[in-house]
Amino acid sequence: MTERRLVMADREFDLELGRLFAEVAAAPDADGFAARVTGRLDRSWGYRQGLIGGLGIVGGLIGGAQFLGSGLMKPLGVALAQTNAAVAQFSAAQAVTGSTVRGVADAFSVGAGFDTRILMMSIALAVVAGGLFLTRTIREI
Amino acid sequence: MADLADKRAAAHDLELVALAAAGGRAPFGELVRRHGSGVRALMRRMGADATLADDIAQDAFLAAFEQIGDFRGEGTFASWVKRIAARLYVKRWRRDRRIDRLAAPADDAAQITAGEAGAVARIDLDEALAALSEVERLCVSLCCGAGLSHAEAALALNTPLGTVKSHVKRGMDKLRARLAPEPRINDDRKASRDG
Repeated sequence: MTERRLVMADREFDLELGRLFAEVAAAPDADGFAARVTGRLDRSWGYRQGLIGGLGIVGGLIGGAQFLGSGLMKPLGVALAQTNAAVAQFSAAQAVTGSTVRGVADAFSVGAGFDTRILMMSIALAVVAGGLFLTRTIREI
Repeated sequence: MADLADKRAAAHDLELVALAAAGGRAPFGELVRRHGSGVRALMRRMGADATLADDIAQDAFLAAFEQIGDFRGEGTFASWVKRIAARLYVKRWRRDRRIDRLAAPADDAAQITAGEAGAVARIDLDEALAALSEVERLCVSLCCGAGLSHAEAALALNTPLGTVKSHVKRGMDKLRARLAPEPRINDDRKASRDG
């Protein structure tokens, strides 16, 4: 009987001790402490963003240099010339001098050194990148 | 802006955890504001000075933010962070001090008798903890304050389970003698009457 009472007293004391450990008044500098922690979080987030951005730029430059050095520009130039010829033929067939179609064709026929597909892909990539940037910014706010 | 802050202040811990898990640093800041004092107090009770307690609590919250996806809401957020902080403190303690301090406890003269305890009954927990040896305080705080089981504490301290158990028992006996001496004394009296 006494043993059981002692065990009970032990358990009660354990609970009481747990309660005493949990019972802590808010420190007067609780807000300051939180600000220090979030400051460190922000700094590490900033470093991470900087690192990712920097690595992206370096990767882009390397990729661009590799692309230019790979000799892919020649076939692209040929393809571009063919595209320009096709657009010109289409315009002639329509025989709409000075019309909107001609305007569009002119806009695409910007010269032998430029590929419309690259332009369109660049625009699409820019739109995707812009979308990603926007969603990230909205989430941050 | 103030509206958002008010909403955060009124939100439940679990809601804030969900927002923090989605990358929200401001909701996490509210969690830190709520539970930072408790974590720092635990570190001090484990034996850290104020500066170290602050450093480890900060590290614990940063680690908690990184691992917040692992928090399943089985316990409270506060107890989860306290466990992280306790493990970080033990790691630091083991690095800074010689581990042989964890050797099995020797009988010391600081044992409090029931008579002495009666005179100092109901003193506060911090004072009572100060009467424990460094290792006893650490073991008791790990188990009672951070909620680690004896086995988890032994694992964190990298020491045999039996050693941890004996440190906890001795520490608890000392605390009981200081904080709540009456029940045992009464029981002893009743036992002698029964006998």
